[in-house]
Amino acid sequence: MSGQRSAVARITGTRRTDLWPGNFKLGMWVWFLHRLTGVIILLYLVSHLLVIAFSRSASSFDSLMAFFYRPVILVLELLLLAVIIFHTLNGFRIMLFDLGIGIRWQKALFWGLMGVGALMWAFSAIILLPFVSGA
Amino acid sequence: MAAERQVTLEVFRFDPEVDKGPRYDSFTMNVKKGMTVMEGLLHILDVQDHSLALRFACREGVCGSCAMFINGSYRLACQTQLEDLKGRRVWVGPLPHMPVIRDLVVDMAPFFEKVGMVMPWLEALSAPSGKEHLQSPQQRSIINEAVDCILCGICHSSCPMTWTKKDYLGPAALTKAFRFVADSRDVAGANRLALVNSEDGVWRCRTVFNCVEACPKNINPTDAIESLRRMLVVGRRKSR
Repeated sequence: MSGQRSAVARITGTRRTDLWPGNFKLGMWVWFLHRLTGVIILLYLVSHLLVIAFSRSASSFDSLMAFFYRPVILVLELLLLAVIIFHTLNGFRIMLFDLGIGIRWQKALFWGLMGVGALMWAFSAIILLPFVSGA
Repeated sequence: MAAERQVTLEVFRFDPEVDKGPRYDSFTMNVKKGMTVMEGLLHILDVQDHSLALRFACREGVCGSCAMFINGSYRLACQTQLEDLKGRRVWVGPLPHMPVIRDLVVDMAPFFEKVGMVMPWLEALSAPSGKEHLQSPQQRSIINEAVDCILCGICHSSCPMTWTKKDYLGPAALTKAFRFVADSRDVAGANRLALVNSEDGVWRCRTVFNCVEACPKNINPTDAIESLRRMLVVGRRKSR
């Protein structure tokens, strides 16, 4: 296009762009959530390591554990577990793609793995829930 | 008399040489059975607004000129019937993330530049002998899908990796590379694999599958890209 001016125009109006979540397809959602859960896990790991590192004595560690041993935190832990299960199983899905497995049925693979993840999460929740209600 | 359905086309308008920013113009028309978005746009051009710019040629899904963003999906205007789109309003825009020349016409030069970078031609071993380069049905079946590419640019436009990294070759160019690397008659596979073996080649794909969802020819670029990756890692023979 010699001499012709062109410009990247931002398409106006949310529904009309492909950046509008309503226009996302499954793979786009999964990719986005994989990034999001990755950041959450990273932030958790850093804060987790800091908290453990700063409790130098047995008594300070015990008081810290006592602080965390409450229903709100346990519910957050269940959410964290869901985030980790999602990230792990989808990471497994991405590795399978690199091995040439499941590229043609990526959606079925995703939902199948999420089914497994739901079972894993439910199993953990059953174990954790008595602590939440009994604390 | 059966009432004809009326549809309003909201068409993206932008002339970078005159306009400060883009706008949408509304055009209402009666829709006949089988009428495509392309026919609607040509109707606008014929009787409502002669200044509308769009690109088209074959009108039958072969040339790949009329790729657009229609009601939130990447489509060929000539292969999209107005009846199949829900609602009385149809949003028609240019391919997203591509520079707009005017209205629905985008600059395809950066896209074709990428395709040109992977040696998109058959490099045969022997000089033309007057005979065919034979290929078995099995050998041909490997490239059946990739051969169908019409270079419309839809997959390139739909890929979040091309949005964020200008140098990424993109799904179309990489599928083209696969089409020749996997061709039994071609001898330049190693050269082509070297060309795509980079951060902005096959390794930038994040398996978002937008290209697979969007391709109007039902090609699976992700499969092609992953095949090239396996060829690079374990060699071409073993990767089958």
